[in-house]
Amino acid sequence: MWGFNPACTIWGTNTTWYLAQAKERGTRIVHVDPRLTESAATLAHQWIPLRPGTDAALMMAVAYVMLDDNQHDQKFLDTYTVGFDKFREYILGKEDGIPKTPVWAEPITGVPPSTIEALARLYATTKPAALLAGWGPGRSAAGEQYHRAAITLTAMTGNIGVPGGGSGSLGQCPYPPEEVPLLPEGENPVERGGQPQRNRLPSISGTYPVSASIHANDVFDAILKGKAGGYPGDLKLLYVTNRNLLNQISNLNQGVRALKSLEFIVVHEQFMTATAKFADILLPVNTGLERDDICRPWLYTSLYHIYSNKAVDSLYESKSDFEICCELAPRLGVYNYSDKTEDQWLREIAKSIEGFGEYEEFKKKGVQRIHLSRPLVAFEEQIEDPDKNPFHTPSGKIEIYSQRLADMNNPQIPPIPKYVEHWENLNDPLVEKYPLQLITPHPKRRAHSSFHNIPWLKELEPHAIWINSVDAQARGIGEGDKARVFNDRGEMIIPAFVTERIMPGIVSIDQGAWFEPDEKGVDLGGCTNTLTREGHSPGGAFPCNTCLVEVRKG
Amino acid sequence: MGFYFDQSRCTGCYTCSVACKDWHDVSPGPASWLRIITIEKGKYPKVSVAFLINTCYHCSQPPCASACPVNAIFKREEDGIVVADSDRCLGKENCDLCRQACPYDAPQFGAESNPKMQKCDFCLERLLDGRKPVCVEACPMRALDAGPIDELQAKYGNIQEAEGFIYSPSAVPSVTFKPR
Repeated sequence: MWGFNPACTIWGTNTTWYLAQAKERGTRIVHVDPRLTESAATLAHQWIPLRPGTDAALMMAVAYVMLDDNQHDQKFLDTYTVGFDKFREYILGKEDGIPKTPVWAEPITGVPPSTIEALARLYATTKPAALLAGWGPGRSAAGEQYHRAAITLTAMTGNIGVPGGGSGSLGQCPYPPEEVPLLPEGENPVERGGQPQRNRLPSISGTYPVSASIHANDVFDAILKGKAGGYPGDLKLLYVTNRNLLNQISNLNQGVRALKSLEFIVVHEQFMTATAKFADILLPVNTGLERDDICRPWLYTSLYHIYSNKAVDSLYESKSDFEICCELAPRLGVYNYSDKTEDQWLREIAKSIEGFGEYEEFKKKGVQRIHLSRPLVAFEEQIEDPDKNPFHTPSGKIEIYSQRLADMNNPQIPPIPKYVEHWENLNDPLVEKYPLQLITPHPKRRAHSSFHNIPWLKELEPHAIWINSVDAQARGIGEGDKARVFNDRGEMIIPAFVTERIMPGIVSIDQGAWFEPDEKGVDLGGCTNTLTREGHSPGGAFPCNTCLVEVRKG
Repeated sequence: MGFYFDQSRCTGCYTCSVACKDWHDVSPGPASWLRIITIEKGKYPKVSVAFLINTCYHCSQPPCASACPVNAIFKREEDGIVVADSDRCLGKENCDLCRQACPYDAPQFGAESNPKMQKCDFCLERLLDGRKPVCVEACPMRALDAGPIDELQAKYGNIQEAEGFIYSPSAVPSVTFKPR
């Protein structure tokens, strides 16, 4: 488990239970993470703490040990991958004169060389072995390197496409075979005639984002700077649905300035969120208890659909997002917006899902399980017959070297996976002022910012900053004391959780708590985006685990 | 009746605790019939963390019942479930003896003035319906079980040791564990 905490970030309803059973049957589990998480506490035999943003460096050293021991699966690499030779040259130091040894990795990652060697040997010699690489480490300033390195390690060990193995990525289950349709999006006239942005990462099919779209984590910057800042337009109006962006987008103080600068803001909401407070028009949306819906597990990580039935009529003046749009469309000159009712859409969507069965039966039972004739193993077909079933990449192979990335010509996203230095890591001069690395993992008692306001959930644990006792003592901070956490972007007051469960030099605050700025702009709600930086990694990841801060007694 | 708790499986997710409050309509606040305790031991990087359920273990010799001056707490003869009669209870401000007598914090009190004692009743109404307590059904790790204590001991063994748990020989709690 690498940066993977399924007990809190639910990845398939039963994943943690399955992992517990695997452990009970003798599977050895190692957990690599700056924190001893709930998953690690219960499931792992060994915890390897490392510094945030250095995961790729640790993986490079693991690759070095495997190469040095000649434990890598050369036949697998020859058959299914492209570019391993270039990667090998980089690892052995033939490209830049620096062999990526465990001794090289130690000062970067904080992991002792003997631990790295043992990890590499355990992973290389255990067959099969699953590298469960969570998404947290990828959500950093150069997070692509971690994911690409993870895939490379699974290819080096020949663990792709085999039961009990893993491809080093946690993605969508290969069910259903066809993408499930959502409501048709229609054409966005703003994007008509937009130019492809060739400096950004293309989709698998090779298309580049058109110029009218901007990265979600650039939205406040785009509002403030407009065309002068290189963005596609000067923005005046903001229309927000299903989103609490003044909470879940980085750099909230920039966000406050951005929202104040706009002429007109419309928000669909159920609660008075930080975003809703800025609305010129606030449209009350009903809840899932007031409408019928079909729910599916996140990325089909479990195979079922749940009927979410309407329990009561919509309260007060609230309507569903769909009803609001249906009523608004003709008033804005958009006719024939929808020729179906919400119920008709649900039936149509259900019908298009292979093997869904009768809708009435589904409604009656409340759940529809998908039974497979045998377990699905990702990339099984590609491994069985690579000529007939190429991988969905430009070359049809696992691309350890990517020509598309080479074409981007950006040293922060090189064509082979590397460890790259980036802003706000421990080599940034800013460390003098802000010496602690902040990570912002998913909470266990809410889903992002949803359900933060539920009293039964709120009382379970105080929302607090995890800080190692060494760092706490150096600052005179005791358990439960109020801590002031700050950098140039913002400041918050939050209780301290003084613990041995986090690496010294690292602090951690669960993301998603509600932004509550006081009159001076100090966040009393403990929302991590008060501190995180706007922008994104070269491939488009939110850099929410790359952030330097200082902590003082509050 | 008693509980089985597999400490090697619990991830401290609180689902049991919230399911309990939901089923029994316990208001947000200090009263919680089933709590999770986190036990952290050691110094970085040699650290271990364990989670422990903390509830009424429906003791063989419940000290709360002996302590109650008005016989508001009693152990049911037919199934051994320890129940409380809130109509008779004198309230926390007037009495508090059961809370002081219990080694497991089982007697719980709400935020209202002079709150009456409330605690785990083993989901009696579910039991009469042939169902397990709601905490058992809610646990995503299948770390909990409940039933006649002799049956649980036959199935899981008779172990009174778990990280953070102190066995009370005078109370004889009806619980068996799988420790970490």
